[in-house]
Amino acid sequence: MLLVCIAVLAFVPVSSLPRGANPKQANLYKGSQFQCADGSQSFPMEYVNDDYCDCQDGSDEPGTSACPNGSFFCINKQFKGQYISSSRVDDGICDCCDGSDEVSGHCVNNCKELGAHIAEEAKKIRREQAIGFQTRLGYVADGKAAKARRDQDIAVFAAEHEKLKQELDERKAYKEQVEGPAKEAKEAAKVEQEKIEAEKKAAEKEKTKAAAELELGRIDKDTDGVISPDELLEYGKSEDAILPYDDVTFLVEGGEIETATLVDMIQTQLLSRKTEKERVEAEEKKKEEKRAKKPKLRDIVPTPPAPVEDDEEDLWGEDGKKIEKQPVDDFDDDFYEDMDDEEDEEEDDSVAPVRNTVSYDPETQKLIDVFEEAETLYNEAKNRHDGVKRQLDDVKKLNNIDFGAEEEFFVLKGQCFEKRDEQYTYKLCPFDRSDQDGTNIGRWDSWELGADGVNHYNVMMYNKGNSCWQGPQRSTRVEVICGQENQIISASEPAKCEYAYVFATPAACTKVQDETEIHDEL
Amino acid sequence: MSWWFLLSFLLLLSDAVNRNNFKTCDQSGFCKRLRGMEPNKSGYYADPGTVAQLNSSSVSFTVKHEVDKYEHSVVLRVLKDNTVRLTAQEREPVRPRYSPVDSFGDAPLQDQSCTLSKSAQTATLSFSSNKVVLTYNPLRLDVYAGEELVASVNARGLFHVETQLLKPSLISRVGQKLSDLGSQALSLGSKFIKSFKSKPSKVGGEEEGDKPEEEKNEDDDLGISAEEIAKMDWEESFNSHHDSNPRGPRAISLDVTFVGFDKLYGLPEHADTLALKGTGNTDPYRLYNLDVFEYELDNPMALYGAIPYVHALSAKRSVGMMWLNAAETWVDINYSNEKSIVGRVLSSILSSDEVNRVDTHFMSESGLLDLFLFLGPTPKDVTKQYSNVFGPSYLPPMFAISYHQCRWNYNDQNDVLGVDSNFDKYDIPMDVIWLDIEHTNGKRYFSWDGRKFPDSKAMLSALADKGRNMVTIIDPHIKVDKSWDLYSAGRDHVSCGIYVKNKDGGNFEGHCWPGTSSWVDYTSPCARQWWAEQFAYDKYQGSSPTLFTWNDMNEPSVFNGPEVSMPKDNLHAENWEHRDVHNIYGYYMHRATRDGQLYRSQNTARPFVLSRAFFVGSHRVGPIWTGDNHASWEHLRMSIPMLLSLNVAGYPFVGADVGGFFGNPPTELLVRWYQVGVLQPFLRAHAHIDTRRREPWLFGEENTALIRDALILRYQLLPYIYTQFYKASIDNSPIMRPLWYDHPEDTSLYTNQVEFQLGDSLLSSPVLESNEKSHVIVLPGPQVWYDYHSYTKYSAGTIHIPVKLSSIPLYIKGGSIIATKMRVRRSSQLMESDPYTLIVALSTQGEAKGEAYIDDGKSFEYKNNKFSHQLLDFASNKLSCRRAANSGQYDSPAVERIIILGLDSPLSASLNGSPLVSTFDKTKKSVTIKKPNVVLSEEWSIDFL
Repeated sequence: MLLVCIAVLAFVPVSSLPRGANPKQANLYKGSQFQCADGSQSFPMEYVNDDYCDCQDGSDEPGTSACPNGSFFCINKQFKGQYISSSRVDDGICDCCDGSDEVSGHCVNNCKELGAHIAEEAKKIRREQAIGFQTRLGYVADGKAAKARRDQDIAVFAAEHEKLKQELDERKAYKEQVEGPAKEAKEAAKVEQEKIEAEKKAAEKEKTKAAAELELGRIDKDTDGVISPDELLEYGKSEDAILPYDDVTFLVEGGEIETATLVDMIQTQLLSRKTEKERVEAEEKKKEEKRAKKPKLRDIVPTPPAPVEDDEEDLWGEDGKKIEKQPVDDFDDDFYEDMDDEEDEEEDDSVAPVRNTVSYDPETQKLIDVFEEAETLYNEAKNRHDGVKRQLDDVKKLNNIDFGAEEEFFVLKGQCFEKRDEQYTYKLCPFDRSDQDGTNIGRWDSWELGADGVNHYNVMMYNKGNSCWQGPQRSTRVEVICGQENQIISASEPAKCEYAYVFATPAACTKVQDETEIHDEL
Repeated sequence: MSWWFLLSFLLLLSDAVNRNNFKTCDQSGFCKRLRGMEPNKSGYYADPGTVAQLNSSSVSFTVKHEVDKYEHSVVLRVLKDNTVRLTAQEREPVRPRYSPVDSFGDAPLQDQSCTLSKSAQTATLSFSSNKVVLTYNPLRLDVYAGEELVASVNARGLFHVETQLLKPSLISRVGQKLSDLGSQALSLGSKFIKSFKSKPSKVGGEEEGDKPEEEKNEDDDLGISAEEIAKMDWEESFNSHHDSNPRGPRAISLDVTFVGFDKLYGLPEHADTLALKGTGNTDPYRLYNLDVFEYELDNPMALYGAIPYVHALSAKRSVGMMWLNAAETWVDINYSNEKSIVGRVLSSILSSDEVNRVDTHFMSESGLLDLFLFLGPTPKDVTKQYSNVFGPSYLPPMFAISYHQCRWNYNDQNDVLGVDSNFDKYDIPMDVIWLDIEHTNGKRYFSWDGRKFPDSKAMLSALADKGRNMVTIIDPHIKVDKSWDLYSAGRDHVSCGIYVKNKDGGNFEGHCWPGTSSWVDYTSPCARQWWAEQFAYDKYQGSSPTLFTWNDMNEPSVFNGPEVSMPKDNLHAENWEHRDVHNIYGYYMHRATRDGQLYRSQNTARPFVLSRAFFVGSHRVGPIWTGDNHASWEHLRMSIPMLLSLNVAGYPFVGADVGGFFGNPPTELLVRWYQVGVLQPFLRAHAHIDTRRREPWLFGEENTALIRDALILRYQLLPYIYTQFYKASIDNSPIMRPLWYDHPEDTSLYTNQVEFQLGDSLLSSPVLESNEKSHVIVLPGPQVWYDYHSYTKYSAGTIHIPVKLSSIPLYIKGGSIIATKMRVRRSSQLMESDPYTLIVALSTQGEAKGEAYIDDGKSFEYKNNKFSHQLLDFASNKLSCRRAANSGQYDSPAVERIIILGLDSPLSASLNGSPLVSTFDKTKKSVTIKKPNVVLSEEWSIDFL
């Protein structure tokens, strides 16, 4: 029945504009012959909208569903004209707001309401766009200024780096040059020193022999020239006995006591006491020196701010997996150098006593001093060089990030935005990372190009987040749209471990074409 | 070194199925016992004195054994259309044997009369021109179609019924390890049963567990010691699972040799070749419904469903055979053309020296020995005979044969509506969106996750506005949660046990998606009724008439159970062990869910339920799919033999997940899979939760267009496909059929498993290889074929055509007429009143025939004759449309176009003397009639000059 209706309707309006035709193309339907839009065929005008597809291109059936590739024009007065696919014509669903796609007449014309609503929405969007665009101008200015600064920094750092590199090379060469003689002299001095030490030890021993013989006299109370076990035990009990009581009982239990053995034992005791005393003294001295040194270091090293990255590393590792520490992004991290210095100093400290105990002949000492000075100079130069090099690398790295055609996205770097839904808190730190409840769901990778191969700066990719259990590494695709404020509009996980954000930012706002009404409002 | 280690670890992980989870024949006690039987040593004979006609269609006799004294009664019954049924069991069984009677179709079995004549050595049962000859000793049944021997039963002497015994009271086995016991029992099982000196005394009534009556086995006249009985397989273990098997060994075994046949088909479900393979060097084909994670291809391991049915084929004849048994079943197959293997028995019968022969050996763990032989002679006859017994396929609603969009999971309501609107945005037709387990409130089926689906009815109604439906998943495991009404209602149900019981009689609890769960006992009519009631709109909150159901995990899958399923000593209604009913469990769930949909609509709306598990009879309930396949070319290729095997075994409405469930398909594979899938009976795209999104528009404009074109082809063909479903609902004819089905005389087609026919008029030769440029197509004779897209005519034979990614090789058989609709809408429902295009593909004789079935596509009004079944005929320059004899009346849309293929010159057409507008396309050699002003559901004829 329905089909019959269509046929009847279809034949009636030939003289006027055929159903589903665009009024702008009214002239196509005048006259007695109709020519397919592709020019391939022509036939009587009656063929138009006769509910049979005659033209390959579907142009003869603007008002029926006969042509699979045809289209129907909804006039939509009080709204705006719109083409819909022929497959939507007379299928029982109202697709045009004027209801013209359904002959059954069950569709209500709501173009006016829709028009008003859409206009209102569009106005709102344009308003937002305009405000966003104003903000964007500031972003662009900031971004460009930052870029200029970076370019300048690069130039400065590069020049400085070049200079310092040269200096470093020179000092290194000098250090290497003086190192050899100092080493040799030191080696020779060491041999000499060891010889002296050995001699000293022998003399020392001789000295103790006298003392031991003196002590022997103390033991031989009856001075009969023979030491009896009783005498020995008596001696051992006295507080100032050099021989410990244990040794005494040992000797007594052993039977006959030889004088030579006794002397030897006393000597050993005396020597070890001396060595112990020296050791304690040396340690005391070292501690004292350290105590004196430390505050000085603190004074020159500012307390480093809490290393932000480190704190968060724990969070990233939430999956229970050890995450490798990432290189620190911040370019202003000289304090790490200072900390390194401190460690170096401490290492030096540990060898200091040795150095101090050794005394060199003036000639050797001079060579050593020359080398040590060269070394200090080299280390200073290296620290300066490495610092500048790091700064240079960091600026370069930052400069490699694509902050947009006009640097408009630069201001977002270093900021983070959160979106809480019923289940999770999502966080986006543009050009850095994305996370869901602290789990890294992607690190900044790149802008995604459009289907045309052009970067429209409207999709950001954050890849290589934490791995999913038996799955891929998490990633986040961020659709960037214009908005008055920087905020995550929506966050979801369309496929497991693949997240999708819509992020609104003034940076993505383009200039509003028709600004009259906006300006009125503003 | 460490990366190498990691790599090898990953390789291990990706190595698909864990075979250790599943039994080999050697690990399945009865299979090892029965497969180890020596041929030709049976010792069974028929007692001539007992051979007697029971009634006009049945003959019975007693089978005895030369050594043991147990007796078995055998009944031969002749059924309508040359079908023979053979049943055997103990003459006086200790317990009844399970028979899956609900597999039978709705129509009662119809008998065919037979006559019995006896001689000294044999008895002959004759019916129409066929006969069954019973040789008494050794026992053998030879089945003749006409004068031709087609099947010989027990020719190899592997018939055996393990006589059921009562479990003896425990004989000293303290200190004996179960495994030792097992291995001894394996070798003793069959031997000792046969060497019994006497049968056990009869026990009346149902036995319940280990009762005092056990003692009765120990009578002295058994001739077997209690120790020996105790050593049989009274229990067995697999991995960490123990099967207490309190009712003891009771397996059945039978060999059937198909004489004069080249190939055997069927036995779904296996991921294996279409033509069944000889199992000499492998395990037998196993039928035991199992949830196999990442199943392997090309092997006889069991999968989700079981139809113990084979179709034997030769150029002269087809024979079908159903081994109707719901217990674990293994089937050995051996192809041969040497007489010597069968030996003395057959060689005396066979006249020629070399006859192709297929030996089969069926083994089941328990249940009744119940065999159906369908004597053909053509494949279509066999189908019809199968359908007489097990019923025809169900007639699905139109949306069910349209496109289904599934994913584990569409996250929430907005996601669903977003996907829905993208189908419109990209102008791709779609009928159903599916929700997997994540849509529920904590895997409690019949519920919604309120946070994700706060208003499911609004969502359903938004879909319904475009003629679209939704399917939610409902599995058989019920979360054990006392605070959940549904669980408690099942637990506390007063008049029937809703849940499956463990061996001790308590509700069985196991692990599945929701955690600890119980399983509904669908084998109980009472529990099925209860289940069906859960689908009432007031019970299943948030459901609506456009919400349908998917039953997954109904093998049943039990994560912590033996072989990821249920312990075999679990108990079901009527005190059947799970062992007895395992393979039919899924069918009963499928059916109970179907009944739920009938219940909620008061039998007015056609149901739609997809199941994963299946059994004989499931085809009458709804579709199944091939489970969790993989996004690989190998799996795409395998989908064809798998679906063909199902169709051959009487299951027409089947499909495979388009795109592959596991893994991410390369774009080319996805496109090709759509192109294949649109020509298969059940069409659903599905994806695992860990895969990337793969809706049709996500792969660039070009690929979106290719997928759109494939789906549009499906929708254009819906009137034709629906007609095929109608035919299947009459005689269960396969919808997706192997080329040999319509061309059995061409033996070269027997192993073709890359091409298939969609119904009787279309041939699909899909591109199944990556980057293929030149495609080989076999077009069976003697008819000509027309390219569906270009109308190019081809003679039968092998052709080579160049292919692009857009190519969907599809051919219309010369001599056929098909009805299509060229206007494709957002959903099939919206196409309802659109006009038809008839394609008339002329035969070499210049003739063509076709049919079209039309009804409302959703209700049961067709049962009230609200349908039109039209017969189209082109002959002698006249195209006529006549109502089929059985047809009712349903008003269809008009025919907007008739295209006649295979014409060398223009034809002018007229209807009742008035000329019609027609155009001739020289290059396509076709005539197109514009708007012939005829209605498909009416009678008319168009004359051509």
